[in-house]
Amino acid sequence: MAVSPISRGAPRTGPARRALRKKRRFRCVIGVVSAGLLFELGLRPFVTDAYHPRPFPVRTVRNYYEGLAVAHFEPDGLGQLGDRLTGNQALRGAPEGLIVGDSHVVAYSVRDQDTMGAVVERLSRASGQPLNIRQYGWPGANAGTFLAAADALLQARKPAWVAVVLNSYNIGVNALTSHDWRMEVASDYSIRLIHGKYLRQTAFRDRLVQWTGRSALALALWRRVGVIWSRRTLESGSAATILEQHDSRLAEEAARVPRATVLALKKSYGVRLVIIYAPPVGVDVEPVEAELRSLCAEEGVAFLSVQEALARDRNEHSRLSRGFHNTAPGVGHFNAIGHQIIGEEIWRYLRGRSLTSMPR
Amino acid sequence: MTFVSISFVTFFIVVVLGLRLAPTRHLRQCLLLLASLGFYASWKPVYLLVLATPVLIDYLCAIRIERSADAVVRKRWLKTCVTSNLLLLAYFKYTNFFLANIDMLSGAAPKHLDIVLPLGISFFTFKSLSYTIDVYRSELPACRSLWRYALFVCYFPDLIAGPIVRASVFFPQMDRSLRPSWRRTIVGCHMILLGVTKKLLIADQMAIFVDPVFAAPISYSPLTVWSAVIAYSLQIYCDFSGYSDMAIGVSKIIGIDLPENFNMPYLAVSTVDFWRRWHISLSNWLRDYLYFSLPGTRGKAWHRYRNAGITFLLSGLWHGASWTFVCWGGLHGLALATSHWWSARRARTGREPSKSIGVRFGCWLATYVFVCITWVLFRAQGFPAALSMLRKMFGLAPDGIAWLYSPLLMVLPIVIVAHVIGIVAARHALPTGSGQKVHSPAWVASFYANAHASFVVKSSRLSGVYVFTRPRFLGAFLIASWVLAVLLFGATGANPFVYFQF
Repeated sequence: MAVSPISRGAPRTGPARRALRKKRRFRCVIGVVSAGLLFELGLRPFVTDAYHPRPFPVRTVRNYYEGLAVAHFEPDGLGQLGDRLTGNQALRGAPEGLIVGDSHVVAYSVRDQDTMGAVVERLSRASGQPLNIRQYGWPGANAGTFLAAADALLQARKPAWVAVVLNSYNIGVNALTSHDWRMEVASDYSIRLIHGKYLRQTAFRDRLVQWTGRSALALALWRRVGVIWSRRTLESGSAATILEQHDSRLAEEAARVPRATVLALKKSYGVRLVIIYAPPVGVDVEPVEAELRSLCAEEGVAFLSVQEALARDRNEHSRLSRGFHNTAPGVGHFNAIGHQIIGEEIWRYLRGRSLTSMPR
Repeated sequence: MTFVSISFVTFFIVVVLGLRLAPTRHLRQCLLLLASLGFYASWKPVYLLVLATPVLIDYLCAIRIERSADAVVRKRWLKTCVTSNLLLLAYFKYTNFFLANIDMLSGAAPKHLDIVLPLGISFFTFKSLSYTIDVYRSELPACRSLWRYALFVCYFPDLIAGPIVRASVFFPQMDRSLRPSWRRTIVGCHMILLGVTKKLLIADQMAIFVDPVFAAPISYSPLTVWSAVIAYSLQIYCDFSGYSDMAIGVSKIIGIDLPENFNMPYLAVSTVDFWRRWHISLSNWLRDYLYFSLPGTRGKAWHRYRNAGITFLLSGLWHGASWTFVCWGGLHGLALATSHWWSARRARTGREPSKSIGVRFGCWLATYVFVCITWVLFRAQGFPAALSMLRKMFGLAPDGIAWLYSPLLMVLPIVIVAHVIGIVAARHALPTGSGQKVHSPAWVASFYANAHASFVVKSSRLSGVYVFTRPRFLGAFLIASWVLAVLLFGATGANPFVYFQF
């Protein structure tokens, strides 16, 4: 039988044993702290604090949930994080176009030069009709957010055109129930925008968020807790319960959201508005897309759907426009291929309608 | 309430505290029974009646069998018990399957009864059956205490998905103190951590890729489909063995040692070898209570091969009420029979099995590829989906989306290295020349203990498991890193355990 190193030698006395135990505990603590440090250093290239402005001209967001990408933003007070940079130099005197949307426009998961705005800029410049593109997004946003931001965007940027990227999520029941900007739609399709804070701000919470922002490990763990908590909430069926309680009222009101959105967007952005529909899957035309198309035609609003282009690319080139190397295929945000296709479609649409030379 | 949920952690802490505080063993046993019933009721309280049925029937039948000296009467009671257990299983698990087949043959409109499959029914009926058969074979005395027997059947760590523990293993352990000790808790926590790692870090991550590819194989390229099948082989292994590790760990803390269920199955060099390493408790159950009970098993070779085929066909049906499962079992039965025939033929000619590395590698590769191909039948929703997968795998439909799933590329080397460390560690952990067989809990525990001899201060042997009792710097560092890795990179979605459906 093997003899353990501990049992060798003379028995230890009380104080010596206590000292040994203390030493062991100290080594244990050092081991745990070292592991934390290793992860802190290892995560630094992949995790950064996105939501707390630092005194830098460019805000950097790193992402490792969907692919591995670094996104840069110019914090100009618009959008959630500011202008999503395209990686191209702005051209003096070129007309400016805005792309507004949810997390697909924020596009944490693709590089600056792969965003749809970057594609439009490159194509416009290559064809001799140069454009500067600014991209403003809000993760998890819905139509209410795009309406609430309209005045500020138009005043600050004075764009030649504004492309609002929509999908079924933005103009569905979420537009009525979201925790951030949400809307109430009356029977005459008039809208009342309501702003609700996602989480209650407290001094403790602020301090906690500030503190976690300083450590990549704490930030990563904090985000994990957030993801787990939100999934838990979804799985516990609390969202379903809310819907069930207000089912009939919400269903009626939700049916009015697409028309109310088109009317309100038209009123807010005027003739500069182009509604872009980017469907979640892109294989078949969704009912909401057909509805949006006919509403836009009725109201004289420029409308473009990228569904056909996404489906064509999938069939012809066997490529998926969504998903990343570390996620489920075809699920999640648009990848570089998806942004490329949407960018090309936007440019094709703009060029055909001479929207690139609209007076500022 | 699964093992990987906050509600279970809360429940288990309360149980452990209760066991720790209860003054007598009798009270601790009562507490365990109540906890087990509560655990099962948390899913669907009314199905406690389903759980109670085999408990009562087998308890009474076993006593009747033991009391009677007449072989005919004994057999009659055994038949009553087996039939009632199998009827219960058949009603809940196979009614819709039989109806669908009858409708298909008669050309009638398909009927579907709204029957909810009780959780773990396949496991607790087998556990209960094994007890009665053991009593009938006079290998075990009948249990005279109903609540003791109820605790054996309802014992919550292995109630839902095994390992299928035998009464001969369980009852003697009930007489232990059942008071959680610090040492057992440490070992149990290590096993639970290992199980959680397998489940969250590997199985659930692989599921993210496997599910969409198996849902629409026709859209993907052959290479992608192959990688999805390999990912599924890892998913099902890590999911089920992860559950088993957690069950063993939870039970270890309570004070009862559950049997091992896996022993590095993907290192198998034949299908016979594979079934000695995969779901060991079920394989042993089928061998002892089904295969040996079939006529002719100890007779002609042909009868043995036939019986192996029948056993695996039924094993397939046990896994799920679908023809794809039957086909999966049939293929394994065929491979097993072929393997036995080949061994017998070699023995007749007096040839020794080759020890060349090349031959062994070839055998391993053939076995792994065969197992992977049969997993397609196991996982696919039906024959059309399985055929689509197989067409892609064999290059009959070469086009499709190519998708490289990076977590698979990261997990594969980890799994390979873990196996190598496991083999080395298991050899290192065993006393020289003991000739003792290496069991999986030994190697998994020694994975982070005895494998790193340089920082092991003291390894203590506890029920066949070597544990790292006093971590110093490196031990604490490794365990902290391990926990952080699971917290940061484990899947967050609630994926049910694959074997819960059986």
